[in-house]
Amino acid sequence: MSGTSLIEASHLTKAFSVRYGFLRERKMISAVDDVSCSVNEGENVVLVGESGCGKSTLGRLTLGLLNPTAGLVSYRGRNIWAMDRKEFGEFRRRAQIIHQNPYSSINPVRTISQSLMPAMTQHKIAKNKAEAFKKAVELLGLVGLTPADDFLNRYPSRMSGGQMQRVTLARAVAVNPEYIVADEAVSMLDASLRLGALELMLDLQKRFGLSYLFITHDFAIARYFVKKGGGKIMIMYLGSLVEIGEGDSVIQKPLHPYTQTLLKAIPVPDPKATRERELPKLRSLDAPRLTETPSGCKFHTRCPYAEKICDDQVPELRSIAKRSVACHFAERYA
Amino acid sequence: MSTPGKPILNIRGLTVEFRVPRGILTAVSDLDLDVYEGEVLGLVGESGCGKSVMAHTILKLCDPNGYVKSGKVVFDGRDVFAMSKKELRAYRWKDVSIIFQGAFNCLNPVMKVFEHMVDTTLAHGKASREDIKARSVELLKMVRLDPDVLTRYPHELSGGMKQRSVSAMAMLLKPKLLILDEPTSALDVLTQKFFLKILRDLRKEFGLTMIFITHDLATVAEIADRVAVMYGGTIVEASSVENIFYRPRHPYTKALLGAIPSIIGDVNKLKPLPGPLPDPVNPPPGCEFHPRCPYATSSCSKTRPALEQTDHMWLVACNREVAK
Repeated sequence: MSGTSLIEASHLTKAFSVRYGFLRERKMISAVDDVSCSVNEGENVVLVGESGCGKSTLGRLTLGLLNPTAGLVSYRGRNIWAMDRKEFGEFRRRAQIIHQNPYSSINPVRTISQSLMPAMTQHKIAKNKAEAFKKAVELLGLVGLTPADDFLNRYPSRMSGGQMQRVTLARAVAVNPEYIVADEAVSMLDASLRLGALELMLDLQKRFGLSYLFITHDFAIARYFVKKGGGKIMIMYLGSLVEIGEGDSVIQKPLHPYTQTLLKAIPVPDPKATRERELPKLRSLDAPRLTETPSGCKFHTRCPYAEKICDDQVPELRSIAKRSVACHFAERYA
Repeated sequence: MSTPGKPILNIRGLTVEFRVPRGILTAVSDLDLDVYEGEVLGLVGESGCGKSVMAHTILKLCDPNGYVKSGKVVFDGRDVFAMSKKELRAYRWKDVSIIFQGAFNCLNPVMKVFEHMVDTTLAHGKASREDIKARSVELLKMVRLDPDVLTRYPHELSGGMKQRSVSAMAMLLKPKLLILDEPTSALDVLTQKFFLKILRDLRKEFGLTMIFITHDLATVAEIADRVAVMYGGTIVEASSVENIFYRPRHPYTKALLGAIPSIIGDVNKLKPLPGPLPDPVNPPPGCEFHPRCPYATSSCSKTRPALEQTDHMWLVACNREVAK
């Protein structure tokens, strides 16, 4: 793993305007709120958070699929929004995305080969159709869809979810990318197929030297991914990163109260162990509405350990015990 | 569970099919299951294994293109398929109540929670509004909701609050059996944990029997007394939660438990399951798990194993001795 930074986000904010409530008032929601992070070459960054925390928005911002309200995204030191058309096109080839639902991200009226080949000719990975076809066969072999002839002329409706997810992987790597945002890429798959898909992603990483921003709501998947492939885990809550740590250290010994509480709440497949896990007393069980982001530390409305300072002072991400934690009292838990 | 109550629900040889463009889809295939009074039965299986269809069939609910091909469902000595319309009406919600997957998103947006309670009660019997109110308040307390939820519209409640309101609604007519179809899948982690705690309280309070359907094995480990594992439309193994998680016998149960990542345990011991899930329109012959099974022999592709009792309260459907 080299240390060169590939994607760098600094003070990124993305606000959406929504109409809310009975009077349909206009309100701004910061889906991503002043987030700074980076993905290094060949590194795995796993972004974990509950639904609505802004993890997908952050992923899309790093791909240039969304315009940030404030802040910068740079690719190899170049601001992606200052690039000219040609350079931006090249960046788009280098940065790919895998969506959660393969059936809605792959055109249902095109065969698998029709989905795989155009990107390769468009980005001049293949000189002509014949070469693209040869590469498509190779790719399907790589993702375990063999014999390729069986799949090339099939339509998505004739394939299973597990097979389709492999097609999206093949399509993402078809254009020789460096950076892939995998947005809940295995969440739709059944338990018995999930592990296979994760293994495949890590296998492709080794082969092509990819960097992943792996987005998930599932701590178990996050842990498996960094344990097997290395990298770091970032925890997101209501648009902010609250904790970042190498490997599965965040899961082994969470420092932020949010991470601590969540990990105690996650059931484990062991009847004795899971029944012994008690949830700490939360100030409020429900997450605040997105339109009413709490002042100070965003977790203070639920945090079991919150004190006066938490109500009005926003905690910065600080380095503590080889970790970055955004909590006023993180030292206590270290 | 060491001393089970008497069986309250018996399902025998149940086969449910659907007419689909590709042919006949067998969603539930020759399924046997007993549910004992007072237990929480966790029903686990991957998508398409027929767990929801089975649950709906217990209440004689079926999509228009589906039908029960054979088998019977007996609740408390009464044959459900032989019930008249009137009997069914009383059976549903009073005897057996179900919380459908995503039910909390199906509240009528222009009706207050209390009107939902009234509607539900009156659809299945008679009661005064005062009685309904008193009962609703009592139930809402059970699920730790403030009684003023009754005067709110669904959009004013969070997902977890809606789910708890729906659970209270399901308990309105004091059912003996409550079926929960993926009740926690759409909730966030903290709300999930809290909801499971509430279910345990409800059960203690009312001596309720529950069938808890989910694809998530960890949730089952947390809530169930007994677990039934479904694969390819039928039960392949059923036993106490400890037996299933600590001493699984069926090769599918073993493989599935060995393939789910968790926040504890050694990730290097995990192994992906080979092959795809069976196609319910063209299921593999014999044992449906044989194409993915490491112990399969040639006989497994010919004879379908019966669900047999291998030990006290331990049922396994496997041809091989390894599962015994």
